[in-house]
Amino acid sequence: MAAASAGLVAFINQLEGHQLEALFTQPYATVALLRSLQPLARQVLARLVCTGGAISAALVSSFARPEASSKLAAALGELTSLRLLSKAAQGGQQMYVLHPSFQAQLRQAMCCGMMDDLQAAALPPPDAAPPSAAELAAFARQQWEAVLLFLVDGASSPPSPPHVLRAAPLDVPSLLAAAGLMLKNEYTQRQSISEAGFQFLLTGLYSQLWAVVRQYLAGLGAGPTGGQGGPPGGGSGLAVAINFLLRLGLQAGRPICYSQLGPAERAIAAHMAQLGLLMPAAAGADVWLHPTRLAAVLAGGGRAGESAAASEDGYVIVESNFRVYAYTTSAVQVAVLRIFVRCDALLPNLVVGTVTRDSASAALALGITATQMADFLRQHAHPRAAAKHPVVPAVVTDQLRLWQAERARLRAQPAAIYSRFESPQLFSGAVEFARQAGALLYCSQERQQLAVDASFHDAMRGHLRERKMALGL
Amino acid sequence: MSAPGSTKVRLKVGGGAGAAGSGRNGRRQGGEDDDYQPDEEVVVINSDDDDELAGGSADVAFDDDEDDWEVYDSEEEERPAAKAKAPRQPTRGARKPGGTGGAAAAAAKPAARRDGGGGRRGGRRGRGAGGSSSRAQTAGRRRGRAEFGEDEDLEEEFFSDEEEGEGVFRLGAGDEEFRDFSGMHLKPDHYNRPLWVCPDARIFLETFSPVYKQAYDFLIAIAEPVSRPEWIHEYQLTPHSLYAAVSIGLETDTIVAVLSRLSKNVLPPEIKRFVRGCTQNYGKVKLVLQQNKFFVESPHPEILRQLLKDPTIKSAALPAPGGAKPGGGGGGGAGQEGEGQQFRVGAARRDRAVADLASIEEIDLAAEEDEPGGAGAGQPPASAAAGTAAAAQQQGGGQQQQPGQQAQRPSYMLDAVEEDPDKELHSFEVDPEKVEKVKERCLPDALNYPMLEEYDFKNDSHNPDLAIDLKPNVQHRPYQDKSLSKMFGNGRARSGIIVLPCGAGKSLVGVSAAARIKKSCLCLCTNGVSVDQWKYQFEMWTNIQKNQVCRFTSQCREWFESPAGVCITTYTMVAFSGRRSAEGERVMQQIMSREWGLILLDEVHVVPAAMFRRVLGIVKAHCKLGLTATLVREDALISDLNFLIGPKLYEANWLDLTRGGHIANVQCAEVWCPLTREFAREYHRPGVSQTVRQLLYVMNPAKLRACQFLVQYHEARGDKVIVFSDNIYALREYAVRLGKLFIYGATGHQERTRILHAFKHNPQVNTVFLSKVGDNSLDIPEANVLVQISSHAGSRRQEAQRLGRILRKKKARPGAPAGAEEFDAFFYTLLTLDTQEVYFTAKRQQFLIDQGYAYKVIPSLLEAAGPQATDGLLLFTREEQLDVLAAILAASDADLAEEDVGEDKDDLASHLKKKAPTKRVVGSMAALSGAAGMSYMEYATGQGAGGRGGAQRKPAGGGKLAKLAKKFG
Repeated sequence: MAAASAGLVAFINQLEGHQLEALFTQPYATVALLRSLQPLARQVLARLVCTGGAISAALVSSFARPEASSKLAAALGELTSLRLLSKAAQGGQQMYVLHPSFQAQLRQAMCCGMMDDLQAAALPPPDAAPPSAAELAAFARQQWEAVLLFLVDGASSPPSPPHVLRAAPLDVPSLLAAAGLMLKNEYTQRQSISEAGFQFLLTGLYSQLWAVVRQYLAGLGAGPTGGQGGPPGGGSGLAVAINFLLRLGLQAGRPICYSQLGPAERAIAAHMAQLGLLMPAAAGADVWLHPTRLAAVLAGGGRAGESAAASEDGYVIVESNFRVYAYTTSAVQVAVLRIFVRCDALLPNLVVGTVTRDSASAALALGITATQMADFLRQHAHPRAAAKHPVVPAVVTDQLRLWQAERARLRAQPAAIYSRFESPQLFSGAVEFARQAGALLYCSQERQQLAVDASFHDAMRGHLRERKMALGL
Repeated sequence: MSAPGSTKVRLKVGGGAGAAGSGRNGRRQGGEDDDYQPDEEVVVINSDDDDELAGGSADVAFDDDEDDWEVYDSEEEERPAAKAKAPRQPTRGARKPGGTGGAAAAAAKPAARRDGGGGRRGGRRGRGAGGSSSRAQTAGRRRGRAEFGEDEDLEEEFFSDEEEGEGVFRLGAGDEEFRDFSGMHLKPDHYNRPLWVCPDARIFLETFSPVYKQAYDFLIAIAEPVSRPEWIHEYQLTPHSLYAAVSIGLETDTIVAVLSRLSKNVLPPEIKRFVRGCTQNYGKVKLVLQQNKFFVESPHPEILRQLLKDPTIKSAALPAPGGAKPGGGGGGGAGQEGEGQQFRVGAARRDRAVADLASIEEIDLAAEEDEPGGAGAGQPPASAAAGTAAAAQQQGGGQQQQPGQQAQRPSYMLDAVEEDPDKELHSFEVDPEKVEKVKERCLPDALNYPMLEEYDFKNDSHNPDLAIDLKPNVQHRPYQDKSLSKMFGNGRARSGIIVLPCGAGKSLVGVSAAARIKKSCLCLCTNGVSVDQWKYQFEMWTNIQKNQVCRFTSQCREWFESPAGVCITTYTMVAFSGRRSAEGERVMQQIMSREWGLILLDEVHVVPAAMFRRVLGIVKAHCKLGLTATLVREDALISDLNFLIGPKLYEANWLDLTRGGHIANVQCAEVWCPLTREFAREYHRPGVSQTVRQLLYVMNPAKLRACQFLVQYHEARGDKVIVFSDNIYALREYAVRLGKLFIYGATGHQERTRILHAFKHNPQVNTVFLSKVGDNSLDIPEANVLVQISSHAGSRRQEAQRLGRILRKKKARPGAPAGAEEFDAFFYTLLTLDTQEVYFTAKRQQFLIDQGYAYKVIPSLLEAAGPQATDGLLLFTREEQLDVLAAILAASDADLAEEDVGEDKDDLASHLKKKAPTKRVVGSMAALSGAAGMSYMEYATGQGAGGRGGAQRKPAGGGKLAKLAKKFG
């Protein structure tokens, strides 16, 4: 599932060489990528960044004690797959070579920091009060939930862009459809959520954001330049866009002056404001964009991002009798829960539901795994329940897994069945023929019946015809 | 099924999809459940049957009727009455208290909505039938049997009709439809309050609220608990629960006020109406026995006047004596009331328990906050009871914090001397002869002012006092104290039922009540073994003299010498209507002629209503206290108990008790045993009888192996294991194969006692097999592991009762440091996959799951244990398994045939053949002494190749059991 593994690392993994090359010249992208790596990989990079760029594999493997070599190998594997490291033979020695532009950019960032840019940027007039943290959070939630709500029911209106920016709005429905999260009915032109969309809803905020942003970036890369008032396509344009997005999260809360942005960045900024990553606020003559929590999550990197997402207040209590109580009034949260929880009663600030075999099976049929459901319940646990271990009662997680296993108990396989053989020899010959081909599914000597894989039907038919001829039947 | 087993055994292994269905799917498999029709026919007992029953002792071989051995299935007797009933009381009482608009539509909703809904038979019960149906049930119940054998073991015979047939069961709370109450208004400070009160009378309670304890005490007094897991409880207001609330003295206004105080949302008007509607008639009139005179008492003179308009009551009323007024409640002037009727007027006494509950109104919900004004904002108008709020609060606060002087003297021991200045009690005396008639006129089907009975034992000088006191070292646990204070809240004794989990010390509550009342006490139990246990309890907790306690059973007929005493007997002994021995007759005369201060009814849930009526008709008692662990609510029994004994006074929360360390922390597990291919094929063969099917899944070789593994594993740990099987054939088969002792219905009292003694004290005997005789009230504190191999269909009560066998708090195991293990007891249910058992098991667990227990599923026990652990388990080879299969097919045929001839009593057949109309089987001396159990069947294990068809009943001579019996006997 694409959405489940979404994230900066996954995104970079799928970039092509020239895009990567362009990306690694961007400072924020470099730092954000460093942040989203696992600690050991970060450590390796830190060691290598100030070297000449190529280092013998033997030396690298000596970084770790023998017992931890597998972990080191995993970290190196991650770096290699991201093409940050590459292996090369040099003078008969295996060498690790660090990506040169990445190395340069990272060295720059480590030595000089990135505050130059930020400090160079103008500050808003001191008399204008910036929006409070609560306001920022409320705005982010309002915009992002509107996206999710539209995804869920397809009828509500997608988030509208903030007026103050006066920019071309982002076509959210098309974006979601392009990401495969929604399907468009050809006749009614109505959109409805797809299986991938359901799974998307159950993933964490970080994965959700990246799934959308990735599609957005792909749209930028593919779409005609300036089609939506967007930035120029191509590798460098994409890299600039990514860099800009990641910069939002690394701003450390500093607002950006809208009018000081370039036209391409301005369009992206407006779209991000529409999604809730930036909150526009007028101060003086200018509009200032304040990064919200969503921007921090986006740039915070995999691990850091997850924890930022989890800090969101939990609201779900799962009981050992499969009852689910959710302290929420949010239509999105209710809708997400209802993917796999049967809702029994809706109270003013509480949803009472039950995980039943039916409700869980329905979710499983959508391709949602038991682990996803359990993780969802765990991640959104009410602080009371979260303080206890296990957060979700073991019976519930076990049962979800059993329900999932139950679906694998019976397998359907297309087959062709043959009966009424003219002679026993014909039957046994056919059985033998099928067995040798590995296509035999079932045979009964008593009933003189035989079932083979459906794809084997033609071969079997040929065989039978041949044998009949030979046996003179 | 007449083909000899030998042919059946040669099962084809190839082909077939093996066990069809899948995992838990079995629980919903339409096909299977459709096949199974548990006793849907209505069995009508015609007059012939009744005659035969009545003339019980005529055709027995022995002179002494008590040695006679009669078996009839009480289920069959109860069934017709039950089936004749009007629509059952819905699980959730009156779901929509105000008009039941969409109830019919909801009931008619097709079961198809829930996929393949075969799992839940019968569709949903009609909702909103409300309290009216309970009356119909009560009437229907009266038709039940009134004749009982003297020596019957109730537990062995009893099946609640709720358990089978139409009982709709909510799989994982299956059939609730979605209800949207989001329109309710939250109060601004809702986060300080612990409850949501829904218009459908459901209540949700947050257990992590700071006022949880008070809110729980209040809710348990006014509502039925639906589920009580860890964080959020669900309750349901029902007419019954409100009746109970009123009868412990809570008033309508107090209920509404406290509810609205605790509720996060503004109380829906429907709820107010519902509470008013249910409580306006209940609890208004009390029948008080004071100084040997019966008084009808009420704080509302207009109601008394209304009652007196009824000719029956008018004729029973005695005019108040002119000047001299008995000053029971502190005497007041006799007022001249309308219509010339004089009422005695006295001051009411305040009830501690109620004052406690009412004081919740005063609790500062926002205790942690600095501004108390916030909490006061939503405060409801003060009720009448809150008039004396300050005093109540003081008392309430005092009770919670247990100050020094109260710790010495539990609250229920205090006399309620305080008078309530706001209330006056009006009363008139009634003729003792006509008390029963008056009571009957006041029942809901007549005047609808059901009377509460109270016993002012302090002022009873007519009946001799019993010198009985609790020993000074006896300490009550908080919940025991609380339940007693509900009973003795106003200094008088109320009749009612106290519900505590098994092993939580119900007996101490009963004994304490007896010691408080200090009058003669009759204690009714379900069987002989528990009679002995009760006697022991009385002697252990109190200073009662040996000659003041007597037992009255078929084995021993004692009587106490002193003017007052404690008599312990069984329900059947009292209800027995046949001819008794001279001695038995004498004791019965004593029992019947006496006025008992207290009648203790143990395990009230097992006793059929008709038997109750009979017992309560024979025995004259001032106060009735019922004790039970599992008051299964949708059973019609509850409405009977409500009026026969009294309302539920208290019900403890299992999880709280577990957390408090009062009962054992049990790990429940469900062990999945796949049905072997051959067994599955037989199981699914069309036309296989229900009996055989049941045998097939109980005797599943994988199950036997799992059972053996668990027994061995826990014995090696030093645990004491009980294995339960309802199926007698399987019980014997398992016990014999594993070489363990077993007890079932035919095991005599002596032998039972001996086996249990061996189990408790002999380190060699660590496992005992029990049939359902062991379900209730068998006190085996040593046992800490329970394995259940077969059970009575979907009986939730049985499951809970069985769990109760191991709930008693264990001493730490030797060698293991205290608190090292999370669980100190284990409850395994072995379950054969892809059979009806899956559905039954799911249903059975529901009660315990609602109490907050969690069943861990062990899908592959033996595989997980590894090959070396499973070495040496029985029935490893296919040949052995086929032998067992052949034996089952042959044996069940043979046994059924035998039973038709009626030449021998066979437990298996009599147990399984429930569809047979009432039958009685005359037993032999051999059966009585337990010797019948020796004639078990034995099949060669291992060496016997292939199946041996036909009936093969081997002489039992040198069976393993006989050896065991000799060894430990």
